[in-house]
Amino acid sequence: MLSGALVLLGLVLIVETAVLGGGIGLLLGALFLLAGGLRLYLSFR
Amino acid sequence: MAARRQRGVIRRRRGQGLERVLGTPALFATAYGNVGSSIYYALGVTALYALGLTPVVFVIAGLFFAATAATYAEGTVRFPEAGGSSSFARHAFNETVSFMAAWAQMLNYVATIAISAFFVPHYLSVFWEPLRDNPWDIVGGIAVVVLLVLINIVGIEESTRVNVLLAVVDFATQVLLVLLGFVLVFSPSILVDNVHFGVAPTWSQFFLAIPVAMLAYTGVETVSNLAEEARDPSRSVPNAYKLIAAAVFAIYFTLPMIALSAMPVRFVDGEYQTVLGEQPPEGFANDPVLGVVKNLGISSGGLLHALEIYVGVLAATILFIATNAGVIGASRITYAMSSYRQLPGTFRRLHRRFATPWLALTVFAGLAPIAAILPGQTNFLGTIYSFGATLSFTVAHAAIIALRARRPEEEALFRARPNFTWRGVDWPLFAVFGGIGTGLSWLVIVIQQPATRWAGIGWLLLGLAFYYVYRRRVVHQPLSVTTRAPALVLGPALQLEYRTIVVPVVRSNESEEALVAAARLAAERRATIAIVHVIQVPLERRLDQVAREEEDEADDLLEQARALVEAYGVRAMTRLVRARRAGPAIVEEAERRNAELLVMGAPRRPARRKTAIFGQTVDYVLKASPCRVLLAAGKRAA
Repeated sequence: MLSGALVLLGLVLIVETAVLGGGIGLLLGALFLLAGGLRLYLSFR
Repeated sequence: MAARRQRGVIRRRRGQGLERVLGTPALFATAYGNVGSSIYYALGVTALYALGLTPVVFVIAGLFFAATAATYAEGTVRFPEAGGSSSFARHAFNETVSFMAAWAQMLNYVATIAISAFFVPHYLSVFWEPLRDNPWDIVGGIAVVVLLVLINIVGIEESTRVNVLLAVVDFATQVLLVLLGFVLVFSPSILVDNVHFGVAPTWSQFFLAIPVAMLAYTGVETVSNLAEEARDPSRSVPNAYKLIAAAVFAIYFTLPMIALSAMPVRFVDGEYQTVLGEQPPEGFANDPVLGVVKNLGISSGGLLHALEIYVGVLAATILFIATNAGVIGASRITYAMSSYRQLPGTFRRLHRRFATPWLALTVFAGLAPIAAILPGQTNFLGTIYSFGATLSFTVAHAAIIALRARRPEEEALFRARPNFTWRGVDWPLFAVFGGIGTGLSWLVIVIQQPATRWAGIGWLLLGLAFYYVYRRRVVHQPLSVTTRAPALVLGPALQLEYRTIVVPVVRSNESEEALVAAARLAAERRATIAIVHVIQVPLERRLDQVAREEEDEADDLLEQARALVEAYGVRAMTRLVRARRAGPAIVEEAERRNAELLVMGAPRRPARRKTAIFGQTVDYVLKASPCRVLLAAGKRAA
């Protein structure tokens, strides 16, 4: 649940930043995506 | 030919690495190096009081921090000089209030030096366990203070490039820890279970935790103190504060959540506690970030040990540099206070051999912090910092409100937001909110912490009594009047020392000659040159409405002037000023920098015309300058 939320938040941040501009959003989005992805990986392992 | 050679010099200088002009990135990196270091001690002290509400407390303190950052941004753009709240208070109120703010800031510096130095051995305990606790942390902390005071008396300069690099590595490491925490331990349900409203923490603990959490924002005044050296404060200072606020929010709102997920609140021996706020050997109050690392649930022993060593060494280094920043800050504020005759001129005297303010360093950066370290009490150091910081911030907020109310018609280059216009005054809501928050926080500390109350109030009363006696008996001036100390006169020949020379520049032969004359003079006297260029903005435009090309041209001119001066081995600072008229702006700059000499190029008008010899600007400067003026009239005219 939380992992999915993190992934979703990361994706939204990346898309939002790509549309509106602003570099820091891409970095934060990538970090959220990475955190969510790794949590998912650990829970499935 | 000469222009080509100059451009070559500039290119070579740029090729040597970091630009020496303080722009937004340099201001941000230096300030984050300072502010970002405080998480290494603030997390544990705050968790002791706030328990499960630690993340919420950091959010509340963060809102006050944001308001304070906005106040400092506006105040610093208005008065780009060292001093922060003390300087704002001087302009808004009077010298007595300014002294109080400066004296409270001095207490901050003493506490910052003490707490940063005290935590260096805690993080080095990854190599030797006894350093985590008394008495070895006291010994280690004192050794750090003594070493840094000696280094600063001898006058070894720290490398800005290394500091900036460390700030970046520090931020990246904190982001890495947050990321690892989100992956491995972050749990919203644990965070919710940690909270027992009114019980753990109790309401009094919760309210006390808010000012204590402000410890995490130690160093907010760094940008103000560096503003003197910033080329274009109206742009770089607000941008640097915005970046710091964003970076601090990103870390300080997330790391406490990770910490409380990794070290939850438990009911032990009849009370709620978290090992994050408990003393060693079981607790991590003395090294909270190492506590986070150890409790991240990393299963590989080798990886965990390597990460512990890395974080321990990095934290110790960052704290060492933060201690040094405190030492420099304490000596600077002492110098500023004695320049305004708030402290005796003895503190301004330089060491005969090393040319550093040795007495200021020994007393305020050495002896006072050592006295604060000796009891070995982290909580006392934390609350005494908060006592000074909240008082100093409250004065800063009040000063900005007063300045807005008293000078509503004054044109400002930068106004922080949000504001509310009422009865012709643009009231700064951020300062009102921040002032109420920091003022109440100061009251909470005074009411709840007896040791801090008496130590803090004792410090203030002692300072005030000294100020009263010094002003009445030695200076013979009323307490509330601003008085500048005369220029330092050194040596048996009573030779006047030029410490700061202001050189206004435009693109002309006379300006270049003025620069060369100033550089030669400064090279002989080891003075600093402040190169100023004024962009005159017509009345129909706002002061901040300057064409990009005009700014670029001004930047280029200042860069060339700096390269020319530095070719003589002289330290140069550049300043871009936007003003309605050049003359008053130049005079104001000379006043602000307490310059001893103003050197300017002066094109002479043809003798046949029955007009003034010099132009309007030179004429104004000659009439209104607070210091000596040297004119370079140009070879052809002479």
